[in-house]
Amino acid sequence: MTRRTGNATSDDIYTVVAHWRAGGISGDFCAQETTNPTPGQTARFPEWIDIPILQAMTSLGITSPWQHQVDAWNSIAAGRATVIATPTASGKSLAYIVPIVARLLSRPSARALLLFPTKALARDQESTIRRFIDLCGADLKTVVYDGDTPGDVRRKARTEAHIIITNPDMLHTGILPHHTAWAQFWAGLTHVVVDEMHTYRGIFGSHVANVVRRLQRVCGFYNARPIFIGCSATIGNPGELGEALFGAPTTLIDKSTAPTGTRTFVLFNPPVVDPVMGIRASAHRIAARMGADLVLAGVTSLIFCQTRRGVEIVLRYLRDKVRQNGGDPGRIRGYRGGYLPLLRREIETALQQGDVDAVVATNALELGIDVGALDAVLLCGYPGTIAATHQRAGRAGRRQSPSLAVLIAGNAPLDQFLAREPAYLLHSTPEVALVQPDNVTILLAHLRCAAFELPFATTDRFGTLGIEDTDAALSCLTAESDLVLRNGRYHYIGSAYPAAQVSLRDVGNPVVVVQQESGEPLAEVAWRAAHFELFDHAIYQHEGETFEVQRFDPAASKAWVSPVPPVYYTTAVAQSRIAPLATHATTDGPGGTIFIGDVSVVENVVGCKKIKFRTHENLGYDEVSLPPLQMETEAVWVQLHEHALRDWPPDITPLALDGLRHALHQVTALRLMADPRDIATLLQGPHLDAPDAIHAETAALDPDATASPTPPPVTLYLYDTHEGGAGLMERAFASISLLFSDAQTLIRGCPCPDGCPACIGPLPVPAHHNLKDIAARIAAHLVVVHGD
Amino acid sequence: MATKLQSRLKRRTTPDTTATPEANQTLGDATETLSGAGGADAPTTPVDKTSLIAELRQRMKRIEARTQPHATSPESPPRNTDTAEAPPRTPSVDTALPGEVIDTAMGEVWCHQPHFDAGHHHGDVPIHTFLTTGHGLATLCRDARIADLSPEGALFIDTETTGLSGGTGTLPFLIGVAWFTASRTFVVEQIFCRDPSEEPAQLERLRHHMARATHLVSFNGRAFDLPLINTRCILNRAPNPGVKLPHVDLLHVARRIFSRRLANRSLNNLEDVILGFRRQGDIPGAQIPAVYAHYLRTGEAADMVRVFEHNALDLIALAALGGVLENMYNDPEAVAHAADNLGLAQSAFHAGHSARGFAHLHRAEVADDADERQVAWHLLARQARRSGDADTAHQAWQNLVARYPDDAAAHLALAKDFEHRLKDYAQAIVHARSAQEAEGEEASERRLARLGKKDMREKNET
Repeated sequence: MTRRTGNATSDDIYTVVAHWRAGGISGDFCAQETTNPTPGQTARFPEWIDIPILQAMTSLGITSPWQHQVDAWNSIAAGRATVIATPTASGKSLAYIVPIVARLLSRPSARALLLFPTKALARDQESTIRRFIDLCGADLKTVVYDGDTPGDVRRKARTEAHIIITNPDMLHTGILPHHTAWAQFWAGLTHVVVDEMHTYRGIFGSHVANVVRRLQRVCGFYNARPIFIGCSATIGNPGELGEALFGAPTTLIDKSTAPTGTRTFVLFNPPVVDPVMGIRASAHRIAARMGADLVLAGVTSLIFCQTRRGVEIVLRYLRDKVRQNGGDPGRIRGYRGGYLPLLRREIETALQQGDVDAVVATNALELGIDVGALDAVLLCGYPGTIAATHQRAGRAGRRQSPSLAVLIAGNAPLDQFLAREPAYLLHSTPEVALVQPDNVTILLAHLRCAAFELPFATTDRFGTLGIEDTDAALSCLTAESDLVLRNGRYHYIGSAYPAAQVSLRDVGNPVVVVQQESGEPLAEVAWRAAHFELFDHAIYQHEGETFEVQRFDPAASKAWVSPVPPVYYTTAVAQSRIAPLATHATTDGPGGTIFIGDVSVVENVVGCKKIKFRTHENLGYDEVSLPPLQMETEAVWVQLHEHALRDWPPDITPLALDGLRHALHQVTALRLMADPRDIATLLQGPHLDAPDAIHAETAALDPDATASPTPPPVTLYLYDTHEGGAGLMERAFASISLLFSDAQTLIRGCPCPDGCPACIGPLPVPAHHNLKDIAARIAAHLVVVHGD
Repeated sequence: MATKLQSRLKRRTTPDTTATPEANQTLGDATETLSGAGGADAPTTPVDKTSLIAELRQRMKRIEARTQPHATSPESPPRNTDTAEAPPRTPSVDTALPGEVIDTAMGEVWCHQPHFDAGHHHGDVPIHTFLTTGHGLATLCRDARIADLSPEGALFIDTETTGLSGGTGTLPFLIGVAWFTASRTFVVEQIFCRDPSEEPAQLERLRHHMARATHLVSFNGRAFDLPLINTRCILNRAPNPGVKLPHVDLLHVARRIFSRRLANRSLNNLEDVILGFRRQGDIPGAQIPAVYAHYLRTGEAADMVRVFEHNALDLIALAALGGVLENMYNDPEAVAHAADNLGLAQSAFHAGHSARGFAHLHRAEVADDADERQVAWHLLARQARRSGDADTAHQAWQNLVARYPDDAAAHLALAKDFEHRLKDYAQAIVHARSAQEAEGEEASERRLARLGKKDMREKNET
């Protein structure tokens, strides 16, 4: 076979896909969609772009830019906060580099600040920018300022660098608290770029929004009003996220005018190998077979796996297959976390020079790392969000060349749900990235830091907070002895260096370090999640490997684990209690009243179940002793009307409700672009006293319902697991009807006869044969038909 | 109507009023928790802002009363910006603090000005000793500009701060300065922010003193006090004349001189060891930030008085230490520890004052400590050779090899001296044989081979 690398023709791809569909690979082709190629739309360089930049662009082979790049340039040049949210490989970096360099060339005192979520990305971008500046023949200094920057470089950077590249953590603890050392930099600051903006969601995003507020205050002190620029992968709400992070309306550039080739997307479900348990063939094996076919047809491929172990498995299968068919297994490379930058560069170069046929990677490759042109992308399992699916699929096909993306469904419930309902993936808008900058704990933490940086006047505002809200929050800190108010100004008098006490990754709680027996750290787990996953003798899964927790010491924020063979997994059983504190809004549905508000939650992990892998057989229950967790957070809750439940036998109703709870949890995580651990669900009410029915993180127990003369309504809670909330609940409340509709679809669409872990969760056997139907019918009661 | 944020903040400051399920620890109480759901609407009833403020105030009072059980005048900061703020201090507070209010162009600030007459001793040292400083201190701090400046132009400076970690929000709430008057009185002025709003006046007062000074004297002021003052000047958009002044940082001087024998070169330890002064009941520096926070919240000045005393002692110690260092430099014979002579000698040579350097070295030659004598002779030899006194250098090396037969560096120096200057190859060979450790095997063998040839040639010629 003639080997061609890069720029596979449509025929190559179609031939391979046709071969698969003709029985070359058994399984279900759930969906296949082809989008037609689009021509690029170029534009003229704006008049204000000077010769050095035009020369640099010419050196890069760009004689006419894409329309959306020119739109971005003009928006930024006009001083507007701008968000660029176009797909991978549409020239996003140039969309901000050009106007920034243009300004730096025309005004030597001008400065720019670039934020990247990781150090690795910062270094990658540093070389891109330096290359561009060199091509301009300009003398502008670009410095990466992070924990690895040596002291003498730091000192020079503060006064001499035109472009500072850093990360939010460094800005938070290393730069803003020392802003007077940067006086010259702030005074000249004209542009702030927040790249990979979509990663700033949830708790991290809520923190970063507050770091931006502090940055803006400091800039204000030096009379600087920099222009904020956000760059985002495709998400559902890039403009809204930019507005939340920057505290100001943004101009959104989200229509890519870069040309695209013919794109084919396939959703594939591996064949059932165990009809009794409904288990399907491993996505890894399928990926290796498909990858081999593609490689042998000269179609360069990128195969994404969920775990490092997955990478190693696929790599081995794929190399074997290629070798058996006379190919060169040396041209198949792995790429995952832990590879050093030098090795990464080597792989990138090899790809660009056509020396690699396939790369098997984890999501280490997802963020902005440039691997050059590839023809096909295979995804082993659903990456968790539509946005991430788009982003990874977008790795295939540069410019006009045709491309192929295949999502191979895994055995996870969500994967199987998508395989049954491919429209979700193909026709839904990508998930939204939500933040809650006014989360009280996060807000107060950053107000402390902000007051340390500059005193507040009683008439000051913090970001988008009103004067009264800002003042109320500052008063609260005064009451907590962190500030004093004198002559209309709040001064910081709390403990030294408040930024050192605030991690941008969690809310007030320590992060638990998971350590192996050797003392080597394995992972970090958020405080609450640690209680549910790292209790003594819990089975902890990391990168596809199985460990048993030897000891969890909450006081030391540490857990020690040792590897064990994968026999069973554990799932925490918690006794949780929840109480509403304040209602912010309510809405009436046909089957219940829906509330959004603040709740207080006490969660106490009291035991765990051991569940056998694959069969989900319950192997037993162990008691667990951990101190209870208490927090205040945001929640959406549904008080079910009695009529929504009265048609069903009382012994089945609790089980059905719990099934619905389980399904609601799944679909909410799906819709809100949330890790399933970001939200929790809980049922409270009478007759919910079937402990065996209650699985997953939470259980509500009410053995004494008769004590109340009028039984309280059954209430289904959906709450944010982060103290104070990370902004998920408002969206959940707005789309609650849709969520119940999704839950109904999930339950009804599941091919299992009586309910299974994929739809209504693991239930005691034998399951009642009406269970699924009742759960779905209760859900139907809660769906509000539009206009209701 | 309280906003969502305000009601959340209110719950935070008044946790005892909220219905948390914590109160319902037993499972049987879950029903009660549920019935609480019926009352979920309660917090949404409009909350009058004024009553919220009143509640917050109450809450703050309670918190303050709790944190400061002995508070005499707990002050709740007023929330409402419409009403004029009550002065945060009561008269009793002002009387408790030593000093008085002074006026500056930037408003009022508190100043305490204790005087110490010329005869005042700090430990064994009369503080007026500082008035003899000049050439010696200039040499020791390696800044020649100081030599020509009158000691009366020196401004001593030491700050007490809200934190030791640095960062913009660290407030030097007490800036202590001091100077000698023409009548040899040591005047201390402690410029104190009774609250952070007095900082502009404090910095203005400091500027006034700095404008009159010719140079600064501090202990670690280069790295700590002055950068901090600079930060505060930027924050208050105030000028900072201090950055231009020559600066005698006695920490750096002390490090150079005392590091051979003192592991702890803190001001307090130097006071003890060098000045013979031991503080009684001095407030530990680590407690000072908390004392100020307590003072701000309560107005209680008792501990703050101790901070003033601590600060004044630090300033006095600066003067005494500066004077002692000048004397030590000028009078090598009076230096008690020969180890210190070594450090003094190094600074003297660094400044090119060889005679003084040798004088210190000669003292060090008779040091009790054998290691120190060895270092002294090496330094003596190096400096003598540099100044062209080859015989003295030679003698020093000879002394070294006589007392320290294993001193390869001294043997090597002698080998070179005998070969190149004295042309005594036989002697050169003797020393070269013991010098291998100092120059490596290979170089040593080459040297010995060359010396052997030269020796043979010379013997043949004679």
